[in-house]
Amino acid sequence: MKWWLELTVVRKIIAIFIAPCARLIEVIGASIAVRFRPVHASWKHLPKFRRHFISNFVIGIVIAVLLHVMHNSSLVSQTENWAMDSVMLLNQETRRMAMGASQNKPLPFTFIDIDEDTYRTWEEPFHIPRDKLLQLIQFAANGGAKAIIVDVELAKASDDDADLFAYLQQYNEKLPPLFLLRSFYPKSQYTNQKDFQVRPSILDELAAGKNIHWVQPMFKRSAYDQVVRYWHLLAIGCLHDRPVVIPAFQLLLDAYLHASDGLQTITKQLEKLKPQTCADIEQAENSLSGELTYAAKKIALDRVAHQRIGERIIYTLPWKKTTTEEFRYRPAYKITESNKPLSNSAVNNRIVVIGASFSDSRDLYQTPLGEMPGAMIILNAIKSLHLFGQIAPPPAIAKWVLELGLIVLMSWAFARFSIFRGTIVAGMVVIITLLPVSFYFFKYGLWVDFAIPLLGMQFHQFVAEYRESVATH
Amino acid sequence: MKNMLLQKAFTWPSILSQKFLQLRRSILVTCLMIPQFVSAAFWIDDFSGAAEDYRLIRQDKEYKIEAQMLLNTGDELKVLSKTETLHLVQDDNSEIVLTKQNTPFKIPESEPPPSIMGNIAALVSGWLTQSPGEDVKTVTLASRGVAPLLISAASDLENNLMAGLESLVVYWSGGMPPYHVRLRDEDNNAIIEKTNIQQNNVTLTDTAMPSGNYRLEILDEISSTSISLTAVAPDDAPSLFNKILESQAPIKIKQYYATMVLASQPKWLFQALQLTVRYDLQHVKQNILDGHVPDPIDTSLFKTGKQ
Repeated sequence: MKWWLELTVVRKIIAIFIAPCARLIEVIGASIAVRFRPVHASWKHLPKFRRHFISNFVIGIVIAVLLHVMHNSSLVSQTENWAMDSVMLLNQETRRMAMGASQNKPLPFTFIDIDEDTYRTWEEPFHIPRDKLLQLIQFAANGGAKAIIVDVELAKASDDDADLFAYLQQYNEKLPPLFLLRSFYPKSQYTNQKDFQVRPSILDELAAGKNIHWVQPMFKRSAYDQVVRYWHLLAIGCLHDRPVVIPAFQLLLDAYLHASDGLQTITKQLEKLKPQTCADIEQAENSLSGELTYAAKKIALDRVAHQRIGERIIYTLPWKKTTTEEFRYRPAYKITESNKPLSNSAVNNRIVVIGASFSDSRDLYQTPLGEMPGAMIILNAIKSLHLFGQIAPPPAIAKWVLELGLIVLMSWAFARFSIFRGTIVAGMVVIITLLPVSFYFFKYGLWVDFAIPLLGMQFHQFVAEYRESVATH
Repeated sequence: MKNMLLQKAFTWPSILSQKFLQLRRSILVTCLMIPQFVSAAFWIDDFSGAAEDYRLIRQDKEYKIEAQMLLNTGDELKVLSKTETLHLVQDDNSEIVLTKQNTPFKIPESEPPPSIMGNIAALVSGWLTQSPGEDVKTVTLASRGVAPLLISAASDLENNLMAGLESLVVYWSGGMPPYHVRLRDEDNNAIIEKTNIQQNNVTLTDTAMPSGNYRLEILDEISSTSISLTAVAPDDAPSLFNKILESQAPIKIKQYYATMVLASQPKWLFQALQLTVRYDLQHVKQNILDGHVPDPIDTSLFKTGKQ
């Protein structure tokens, strides 16, 4: 709705600026017509409908080319965001999106949430108490979780670390893989205004167990509305003056879910991407290219080619305390404070994410499905990469054929009907044909854009309105 | 050969019809919102007594109950003892308490996940029914990080104290417990030290600080802060302070105004805090700790009045 209003304003602004340009084009056109009198004469003799159709077609092609040239402009990217956010909003929680193209069972998740009730029950601790965290990890590990993700930073030492660290040191392959996060320092004078310094963890000095895997929780948000829409699959950082390549939660977990040796396979490939020294990190990040492969899956690393569409997270799980086959939710204090034997039905054979949503954790972000804690974004990202992969547009040829078809349709509609009726007919056809196609292919990781044709139609309508006003005056 | 062709000719329509049926089913499922799976959203939250006091029947089999157990649609629960209670909780935090009287209890079907059309309907209904007042959310704009350690009621530059103080009261904010407080003398020797302090204040006793320079340090595990203290003879206190104390006014009034005089001067604020404790001026102490100190008193006005 907001996008539509903005577009109306933009149309009016363009109308003011385009009039002199259109006049210039008409003068040039008239001069060409004088030079090519026979062509001009035969054009004049064409039936009115055909003349309108051809000129509309040319206008449509010009608009399509302009929109392609403006692909990275704010207007086009915001229109694309609006369309994709809307599709996610309407597809959220549906059974259809619970399964990927080749899976017939949902990917089961459990979110163990350090929520406001837990925070108060734990007497408002300054940091997540390590003894409680240990209890939660043990509950998931002993309960037969498929994988455990801890969205809690363990960089700083505290008084009650000993038991947790002792447990992590002996964490072996008999237990489910445990993914711990590494964060990066923001730019400051201490990092020489660079953003790739990895925050050291107390665990670096102690040898962490064999089945502990380090990942990073970095995501990207759109600057104009602060909505987290994109992931950051790989980050190269500097830790203790040595470069390290740290994959995102979703990448490492996807490799693990696809193949039993997925973690080893991808770790070897990541090692090859490591630059020689910390001084080479920025250059290495900017020149990331090629693919990561595990099982039958390929992950493109080329940032330019996959920016905006390929890095996009398909959100399907909102932050709601629901219980489905796919998603289960438990407040952390129900586990840590229970004095009864605990059932493993919340975690058995599920991907368990331990994270925080209490207000003082400052871990809440805006997403296309509303506000959610970081742990829920990680969960959505894991599902998105595992089930839908990297989103891609249709092949170029299919895209151009589709656009050509739509241009022909709009040219016909604006030539056959009045501007108002033409807009209604063309808009309805786009919505009736393109919208279901877009919805259908969305879960297969294919994005058939319906917003850009609608934007094109709006421009087309504006040009038609201008031409009509010139003709009547 | 002819048979094979005939067989193929008969198979193709059947494959096509199967494909058509599959397509029709998927269209029906997508467009007509046929509920596809149902999940029960009841959890065993807690129970009194032992697990043996309850019975859970799931698909004709008996199970032992456990805390945080997810219950399925159709599960039957029974409380066997008259005195015990079983607490079930749903996703919306609503609780059901089961006793011997209201069981057996059968887990009902819960709502299926929404369909695309359901989401559209919810979205449209939200647009039409939500008033602008319901569409806003109050947020608290405050730094949630751990605040830096800061000694309260003290100046960063100089803090005067009257020599001979028997105890020193220190308040601070920020940091993380446990805290460590240390008072050093001019030679950097720790003359008083207190560790493992869990609250944001401490009283150092037996100080007996003779005239000289000192440094007061507060430390937690990751940060520290300090201020310099100068113990001076009581005669070096502001003249107005001494005049008030020497006056004939009632004792409580003298104590109050003398403290206020010190509190109005940054380098004497820390001493003023000590006096609020000694004179039991709780209200003044709280004001000083909150940063509400009196404006500097114009002593010339006082002189004029005396004349």
